[in-house]
Amino acid sequence: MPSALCETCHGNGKEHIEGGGDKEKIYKPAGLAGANKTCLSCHDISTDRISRHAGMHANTATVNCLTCHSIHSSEPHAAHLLAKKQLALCDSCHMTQVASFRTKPYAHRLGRGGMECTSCHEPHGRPGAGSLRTTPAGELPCLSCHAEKRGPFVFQHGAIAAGDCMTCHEPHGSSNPKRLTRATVLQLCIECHSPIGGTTLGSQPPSFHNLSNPRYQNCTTCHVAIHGSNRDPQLLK
Amino acid sequence: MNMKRFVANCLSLPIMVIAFAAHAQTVPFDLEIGYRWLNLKGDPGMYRTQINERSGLLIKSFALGTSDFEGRTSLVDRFRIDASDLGVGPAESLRMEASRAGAYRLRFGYRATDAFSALPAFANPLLGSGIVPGQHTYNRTRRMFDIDLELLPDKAVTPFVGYTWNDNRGPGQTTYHAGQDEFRLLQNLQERDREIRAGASFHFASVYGQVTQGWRSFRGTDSLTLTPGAGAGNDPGNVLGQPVTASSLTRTDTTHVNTPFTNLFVTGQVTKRVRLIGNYVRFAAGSSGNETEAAAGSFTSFAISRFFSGLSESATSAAKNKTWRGGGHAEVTLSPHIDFLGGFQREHRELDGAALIDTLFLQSITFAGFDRKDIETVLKATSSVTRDESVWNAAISARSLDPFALRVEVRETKQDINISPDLSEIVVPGSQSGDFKRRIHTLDVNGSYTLSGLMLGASLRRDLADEPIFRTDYLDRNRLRIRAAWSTPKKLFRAGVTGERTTQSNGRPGIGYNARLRQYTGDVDVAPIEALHFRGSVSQFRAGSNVSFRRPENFNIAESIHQENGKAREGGVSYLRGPFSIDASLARFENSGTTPFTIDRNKLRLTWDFKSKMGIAGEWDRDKYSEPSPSYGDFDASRYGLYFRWRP
Repeated sequence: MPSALCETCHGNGKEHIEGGGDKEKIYKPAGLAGANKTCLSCHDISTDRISRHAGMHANTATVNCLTCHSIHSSEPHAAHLLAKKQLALCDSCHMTQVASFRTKPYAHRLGRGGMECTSCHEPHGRPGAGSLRTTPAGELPCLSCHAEKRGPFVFQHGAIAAGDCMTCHEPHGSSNPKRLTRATVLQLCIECHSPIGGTTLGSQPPSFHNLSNPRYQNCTTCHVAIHGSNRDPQLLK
Repeated sequence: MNMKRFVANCLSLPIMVIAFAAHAQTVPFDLEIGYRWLNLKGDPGMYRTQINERSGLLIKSFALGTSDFEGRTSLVDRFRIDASDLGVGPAESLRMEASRAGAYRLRFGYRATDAFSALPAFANPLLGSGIVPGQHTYNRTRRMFDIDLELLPDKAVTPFVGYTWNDNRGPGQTTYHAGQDEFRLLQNLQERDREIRAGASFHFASVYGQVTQGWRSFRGTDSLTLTPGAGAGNDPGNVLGQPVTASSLTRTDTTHVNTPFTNLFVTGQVTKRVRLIGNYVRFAAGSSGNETEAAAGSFTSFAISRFFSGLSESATSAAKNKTWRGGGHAEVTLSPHIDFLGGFQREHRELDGAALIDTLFLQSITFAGFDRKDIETVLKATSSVTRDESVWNAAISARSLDPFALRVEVRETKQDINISPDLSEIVVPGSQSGDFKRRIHTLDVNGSYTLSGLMLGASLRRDLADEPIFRTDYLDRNRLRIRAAWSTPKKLFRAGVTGERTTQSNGRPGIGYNARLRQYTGDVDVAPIEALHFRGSVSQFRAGSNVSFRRPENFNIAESIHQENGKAREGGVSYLRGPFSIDASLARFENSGTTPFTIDRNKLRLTWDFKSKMGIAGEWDRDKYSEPSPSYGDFDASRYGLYFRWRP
């Protein structure tokens, strides 16, 4: 007897059964057409967080539902019927990003429990730019874990108030300690805090420290409250 | 069903399902449990900062999923557990999902991350004196769990509740600036963030939406005490002829933040071709802080032009962050293969805060030698930031022009940031406050071609901005990504290459900012027989930036140059035959940029199923990190694991 469950995706199975299980006599969803016709018949949802049409992973011949999801032979250690473990799956296209987690010394621990690519990214795409998963309050995904960095602080570091976490940090793997965008803290700070070239934010000098002295080469030794302070305008405590 | 019984059922459910699964033949169940040994040579601080895998018992992986309970329970008809690295971590994870069609859907997640940092050269002005590791270290664990319950899923109205608990605590070491010197301090940090949320999804005809109301509460306590033996501070010299030393220093900060938030979206299929989506999110975070500090020793303050022998300080603070974001967009199907997408998003944020700081300087003496006894200063400091950001976008997406797909998007982003710092924040007048505006125009083009195992893809993005806000903001940015892959029909051979080139610049006089990023990766996967796979990849990562800056000690203009030049080579083989499997890989990453280092990573995993449902797995992971001389952070770490595998 044809199963209503199977026929939801494979269509009428009468001929298939009468043909002794002949695979040619039943519809097999595959590729873009299969994904559009079959998967989206139930999962065609657009919200403020997911867009099946507008997102960068909207169904195309190159990437579609069945590129990442395997309905009958999914990876047993991955939820949502993924064809492979998530890191391996994303690696098939986003090789450089995934390689940075594997090879670089300072990286979020992906694929080893805890975090996955989808901890921060919405794989089905979001309307508009980027594809980051925000918190329920609409903040960057970094703050889902690093709750203490949310503030608000009386004295907020301008890099966060006017920018975001990525002003100073690399979110994937990095060659720099603390996943900073520069190899040393001094270099990161001084590139903004320098009084030349007009009226950019924060371009006043960092006091009159002697940067050739090792004592002043790591700004956060003194400016420890670098993300924001409730006590000290200079972020010293 | 009373609440106690419900909770007991929820807690006993995993045990019941596992026991059931152990007997059932059809339930997929996969457990790998064993012991891991660590053999570490070299710097443990750097090893734990980067990898942190320790010796101990480990549930390496566990997966169970079933929807077949053979009528033994009416509580659940679908259940799944996934767990990994439970035990000695450092990144533990457990996810559980249970549901009954039309009744409920319950999701539970647990994560624990050991966060360790003891970098020899980071925050270490005394490295040249042989002091290792750096002055900023921590050994913390963050534990998070989420639980979400949906009632009546897939009905017209689906109420839901959720709870998130995020706890971060552990000891550390930090520094503190007091009286013109820095002192090393022992730190004990305890932070807990909790969030409760409730709401409902609704689905009437072609209108679907969700409203969520949540409350978030953060509590943090940071206790600092002077590290024994650290009273001399970082600076061995005197200030104005007087030594700066501390005999005691304690400080306690407590912070409370309460954040109610509202999140709403509605989407509706207006006509067969037009779908509209609207969204709104708002939160109002209010923080209050209390800080006390006491110090004794010999200190100097240029702010009050005095020497002093002690400090007693208390501060109370309050800050607010009100943010809302709203917008709408439309998805219009122009033809079965072409969509028009357009939308507008606006965000408004207000941050303001005030702190009342009461400082008592004990036994102060002016630089001129006049004894003024104790002086007290009371500072009321306020600051505020408002930020508005709006984004327009419009796109044409031709997704199904087999074998082509093309997407073209234009976007305009406007930022308007007004900063009013407190007077006490200003080091030198100018450039720290004011109104900063920036407008960015973006063109984003993506195309792909897929036919008979060949895939070609390209992405081009151009951003043009009228003004920088920070000195390292671009005025012109170009990004090109290309990707090509080819595979034989049965994937006996697969090869792919990707490349990315990004340049950004800000040529304004006095800034001269230029940044370049190039990364290329090529990989090959060969499977001469189904059981045997060879894989290899080569990648190169080159990043560089330069921007001029003024040296604060002599006002000379210099150039900040950052370079990374990394090369990675990876190779591996996997073989599966009967009850045996082998998976081995070698990788090397060399960086010859501003921070040169080399990392070698070797992995070997062998499995043998000595019975149809049982087996053992042996693993060897080796990571060798080395920096050129003088090196303080080299390590060579091997981990050996022996695991029992059970798949009933």
